[in-house]
Amino acid sequence: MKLQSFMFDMILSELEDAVGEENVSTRQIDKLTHGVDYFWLPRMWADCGEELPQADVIVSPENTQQVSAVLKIANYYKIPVTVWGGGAGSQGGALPMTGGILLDTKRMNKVLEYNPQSMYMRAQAGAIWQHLEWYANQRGHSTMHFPGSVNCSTLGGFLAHRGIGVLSTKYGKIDDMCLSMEVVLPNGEIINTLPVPKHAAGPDLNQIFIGSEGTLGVITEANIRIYELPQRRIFRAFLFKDLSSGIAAGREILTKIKPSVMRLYDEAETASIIKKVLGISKPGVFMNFALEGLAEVVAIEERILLQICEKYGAEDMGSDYGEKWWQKRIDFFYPGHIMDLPQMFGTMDTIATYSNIEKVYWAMKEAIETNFPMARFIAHFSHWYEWGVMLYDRFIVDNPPQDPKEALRLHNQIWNTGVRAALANGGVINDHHGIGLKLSRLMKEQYGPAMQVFAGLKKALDPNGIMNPYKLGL
Amino acid sequence: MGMAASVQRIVDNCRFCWMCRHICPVGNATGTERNNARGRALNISLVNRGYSFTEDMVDNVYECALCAACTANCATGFDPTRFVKAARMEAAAEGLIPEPVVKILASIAEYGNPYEAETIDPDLQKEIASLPRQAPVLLYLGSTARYLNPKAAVTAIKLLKKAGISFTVLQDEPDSGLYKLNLLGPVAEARNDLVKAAEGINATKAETLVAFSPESAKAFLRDYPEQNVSLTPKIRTFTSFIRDLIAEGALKPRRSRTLFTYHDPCTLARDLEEESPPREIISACGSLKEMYLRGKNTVCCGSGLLALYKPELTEKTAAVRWQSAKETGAEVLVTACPACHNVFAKTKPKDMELCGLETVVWEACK
Repeated sequence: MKLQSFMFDMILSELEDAVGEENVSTRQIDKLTHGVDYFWLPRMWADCGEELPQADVIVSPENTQQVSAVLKIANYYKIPVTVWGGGAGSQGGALPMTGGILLDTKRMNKVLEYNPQSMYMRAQAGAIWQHLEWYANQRGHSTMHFPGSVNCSTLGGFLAHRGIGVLSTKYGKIDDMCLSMEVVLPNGEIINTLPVPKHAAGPDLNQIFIGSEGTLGVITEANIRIYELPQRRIFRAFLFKDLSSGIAAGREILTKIKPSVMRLYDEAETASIIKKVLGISKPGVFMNFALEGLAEVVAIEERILLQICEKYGAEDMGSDYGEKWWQKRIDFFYPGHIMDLPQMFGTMDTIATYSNIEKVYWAMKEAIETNFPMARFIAHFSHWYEWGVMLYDRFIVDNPPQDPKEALRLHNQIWNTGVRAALANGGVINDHHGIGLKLSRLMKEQYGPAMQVFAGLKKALDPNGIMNPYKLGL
Repeated sequence: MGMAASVQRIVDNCRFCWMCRHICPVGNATGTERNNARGRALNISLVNRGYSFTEDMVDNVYECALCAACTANCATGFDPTRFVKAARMEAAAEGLIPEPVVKILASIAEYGNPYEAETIDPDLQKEIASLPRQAPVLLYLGSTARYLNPKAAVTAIKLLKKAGISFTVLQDEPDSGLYKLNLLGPVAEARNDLVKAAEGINATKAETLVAFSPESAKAFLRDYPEQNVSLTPKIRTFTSFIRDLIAEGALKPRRSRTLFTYHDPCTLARDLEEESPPREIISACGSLKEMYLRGKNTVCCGSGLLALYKPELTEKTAAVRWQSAKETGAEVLVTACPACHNVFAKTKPKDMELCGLETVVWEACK
């Protein structure tokens, strides 16, 4: 639909009325700045001087009522709405692919309630997570959510993309940390999920909106858990002779104790990243653990950890590597450490049961290395459960095609091949970065007839299809 | 954009990196995506790849407070302020300098200060006139204190008198040139002002220059050497000088029951790495309750050029800092910088007091 004559300005004045004139922008700089997120494709596009996806207008509400007003306007005029938190997502989820309104949530950054009795805090969805962590730290607590993007991503962004942090094995994923949420539906209605996450009052509404990537509404507030700071946190690293023994040890450890950190690096990653950052040069697979909590419990857990690792023939590397890793855990994501253009790269994180995870690893590795000899494949396993483990595998092409269209084609071929290898062996499209634009086309392959559940939700909640078009396969 | 390769490298490394977003005082205060190192780097990188350098982009590089929080926080060691300054230089070369900046530059050219001030406060004039023309110590007040916060300048003079220091203050103190340097980048015109100021300072034959304002101290200790402009006196910060006077017994403050909190000026804590002296001074005068983000992690209040360029932005950055100050439960927010003081004074909440460090000591020594 093309707007005629002064209609655009008419709508603009409605948006200004809803959120204030200074919080509505049609400036070119704001459109360009929201035209690139952390997804490799728009970054490559920008570097090639190609046209970037651009919203028609950027709107920055400061509270739920203003979000509601904006969505009512958008729904009436059937204008696409893309929600932008930190913009640090790697899947293109925040890109305004059909123009329209880009709703930036970062002015919604307040802590609304701090409840140490029930151990949660309520915050607006645009709060940067590190600020929430500082808020909790000042009160003797922690959120225990430490993803690589803790400095730059928002509460709403983590919820919308079902994010995870490095201490997940003990404290859980973002969906475990969220007690309840407030959501503005596409028609502008404000709803709340139930005040507690555990109940038998039907399906859990939280889990409908967590991971929905702004396709079903806008998450505006949430109650998230806070935790006591651990009395003791210790690290212990080991070198296993191969992946199988490392995974087997990890599985057995989780039948007995609950480390906060478990990170097992494949041989390629041990020989590259771990060698570069931590200085380990021996062959094998490196695995790092953290144990934390009450000192006497940690002491018992440490004894059990040592026994199991010894049983699987691991070499004890002591605590220095782990402590160094903890101090530098975010450094990996700074320029100079992380992959960057002109390289082509992608993180194909997936997850499977212990019965399938090695099959998934070897199938993805073979699929990438056989079909794309120009690509390197590295991986680690860093979020563990009693039933299975996440595989954080990455491909890197050092010299991709210079033509942006050719590069896009190769990029998507590698992704299709890798994800299909995972799906064929019991894996899933993604573990904790989300789907976004990048993997949208593969959702139907993953879900099959089950996709109609999502399609039904979408149709019921967003009949005009305004929310985040082309994302999540919806 | 005609940037040096070393600066271009910083742009290319920052253009897709948000890792300093959490610490950017302007971005956090506005919630605006363009207001951080990544936003600026991305747009500059687009210009380098064929996009036009627009007035919007120029405006955004002037919306940076140059507080260097991003630089201090970068695990790799990149300094985004370098490309901000380079982009400002480019804007000047292309005739894209925004109107408020033109006005500031015109004021510096006409009045020798960025505030369009023709004369100084009569009380300050009187205090300066009471001092010897030459002395081993030169107290350099700086334009902000001279023209915007003369009370603080008068108090600083009284304090050194009380300590028995033989010192002077220049009647016609030359502007340090820092603002022009930060507005235009290291161009010849800006450097000439540093040379002129250095000549005036060196002519006093003072052995020690005590810079009242941390901004001036930073200019003399960092920018002048970078621009190969020599100063003969030894440069001291006012805070370290006063700390020593207290330690030596030349000033004897009485400790009150007042609970203070302290705002580290970015130039003092980050550029000059001076955290301890102001805290020692405050602790000699009362109790200190720290803000969570302090020292080199201090949050810029938006003072200095940003306050001149876009005062409405400064109101937002200062409000964030006041909130942190209030959370300490302290009665008084203390700052050691006249520029910060001005910004805080304009945004002061009713339930807290504001005091310059010189006044805290003066009151305690009365």
